[in-house]
Amino acid sequence: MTNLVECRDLRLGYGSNAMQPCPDFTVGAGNYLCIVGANGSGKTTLLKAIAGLIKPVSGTLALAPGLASGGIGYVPQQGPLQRDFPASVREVVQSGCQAMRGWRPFYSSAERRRAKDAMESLGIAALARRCYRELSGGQRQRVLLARALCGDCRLLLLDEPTTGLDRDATADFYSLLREINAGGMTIATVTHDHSAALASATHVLTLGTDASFRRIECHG
Amino acid sequence: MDEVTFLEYLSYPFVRNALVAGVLISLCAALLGVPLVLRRLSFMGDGLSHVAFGAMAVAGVLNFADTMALSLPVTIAAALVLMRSGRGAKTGGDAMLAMLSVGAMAAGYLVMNLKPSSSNVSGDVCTTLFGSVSILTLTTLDMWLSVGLSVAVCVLWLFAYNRVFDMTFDESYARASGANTTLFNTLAAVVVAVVIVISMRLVGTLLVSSLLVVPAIAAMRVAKSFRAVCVVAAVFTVVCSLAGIMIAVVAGTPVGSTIVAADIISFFFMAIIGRFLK
Amino acid sequence: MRLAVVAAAAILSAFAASAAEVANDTNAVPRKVEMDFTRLSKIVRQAQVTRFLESPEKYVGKIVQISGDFYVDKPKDGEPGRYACALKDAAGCCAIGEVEFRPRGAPKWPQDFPDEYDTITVNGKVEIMRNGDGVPCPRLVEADIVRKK
Repeated sequence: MTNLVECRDLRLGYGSNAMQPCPDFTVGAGNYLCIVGANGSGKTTLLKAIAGLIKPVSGTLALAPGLASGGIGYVPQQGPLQRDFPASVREVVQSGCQAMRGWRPFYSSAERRRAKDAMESLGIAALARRCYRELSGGQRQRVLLARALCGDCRLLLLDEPTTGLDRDATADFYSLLREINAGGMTIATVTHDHSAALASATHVLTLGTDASFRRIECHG
Repeated sequence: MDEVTFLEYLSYPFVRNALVAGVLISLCAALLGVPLVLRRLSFMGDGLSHVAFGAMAVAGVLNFADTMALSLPVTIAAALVLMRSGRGAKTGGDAMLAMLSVGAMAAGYLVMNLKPSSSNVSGDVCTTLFGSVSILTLTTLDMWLSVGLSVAVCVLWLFAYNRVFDMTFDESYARASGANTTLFNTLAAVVVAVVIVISMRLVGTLLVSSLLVVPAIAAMRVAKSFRAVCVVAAVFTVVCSLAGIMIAVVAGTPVGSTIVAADIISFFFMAIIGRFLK
Repeated sequence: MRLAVVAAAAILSAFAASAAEVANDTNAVPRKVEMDFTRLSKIVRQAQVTRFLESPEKYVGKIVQISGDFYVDKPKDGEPGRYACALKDAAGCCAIGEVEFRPRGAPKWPQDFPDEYDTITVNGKVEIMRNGDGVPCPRLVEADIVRKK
């Protein structure tokens, strides 16, 4: 299977309430997919299904081999618990290697190296010792992104990553994502601000009443 | 009446045992308390300790040689029930806990009065609730059980340190990374129940939650990383428990309350230090 | 608190000098108390006393000193009296147990004894007796009442 994700006749929902059917879509290597739609149209649910957190009610959601176990980097929405958490940036980023760590009690030096590289590539190495809860919204998102990149992932899933960020921080973040995508990473992001996201997207999946999946032809 | 010096008290084996057991118990309670507080589950300590009280009362009435034989399994069962019901069942997690814990307290006290196993039911209840002297009257079996379990919990915690961090900071992320979160949560519930039951020997039923919670929140005032929080909480609790037991032994004050008082006073110091560190 | 106890002791010893003395004139020769529960802090005392009552065999033959309320089964019809010291918990509100003691010499009731329910300090040699339920309990023999309130 050359595509990373293939979805057919997918129906998702919580409990026994199936939501509206999701249009068939695929995510190929190197794609940049934006998932948009009105509130409640199931964007987060879809992302969680791809991440393996919930099972579809019906239909198929096929992942490329090897993707399910550590091949996916997931940047979920931040809850209040994390915002107030006393952890250093290094500790948060390091926890991205947990799938690799498995049953071992401590991280190997190779895993520590990965965390360091991830922080450097996102320009937050200087924040390593800082406390997570003292960072700005934009910095925290970079930390969570670094965490997701720490593992050996081929697909990056982001759930409304720019919630609560001001315009400049939002713009910064999307240009960062563009760079990462240009480096070969496949990205699927749920977003509610169309303009900034669509600027870099290769595909758009719209959920809700006017559900559709289309390719973006060309960018400036 | 010439005063007994602390060194002289140390010559009694039960005082030495109390110090060793007390320090180990409070250490594992503080370590457990860090993730408990961070996951906003502080109330669990209180609720489960009430269930344990009920179980202990029944065990006492049935003349168990060691009440832990009943209180451990019952509290573990309660913790597991809570863990399941917390995940969106009909009765919300905290309501279920309230019902279980208050019910157990009432049942326990009722049972103790219906079939008293000593002439001094109120005094015994007081001692159990506030831990005034329990740590000094440990039998050899009690001692080995408490020490053994505490050491086991501490070692387990050390091995699972990173897993604890992952699950506490972001459970969904852990699950997405393939971690078996149900297994972890089940194990955690069992360990919390164990720690609560053995902590009751030290500070009594009503004060158990402070043994779990105060070191963690004190540490969070000054520490800037998860590791620092854990280390500070551990040192905090060892110092306060040692001081608390020593003061209680010499001054004749109830052990449980003295330890908790030491905790609270030290918490204020930490809060002040934390202000300065900002 | 300590000050009050010291003051009380001072006043009482003044009284004791002029009041009827205990017939145990061996008070003039104080003996070595091997285990003095009265010196311990309240909490430790409660713990130690509880152990003493539960496992008295560890103390057999030793001279111990305890303090508590004086209880009496008064002598009558030729039957000798039974005397006991009721031990209290740390808070002083409830009794943990009772230890019977047999005084040294041949004191006469009531003149050689303190008043019933007074707080007394008594020391004596430990021996084991079985109570009505067959449970082993400590008893002090050759006991001296050291201080009367």
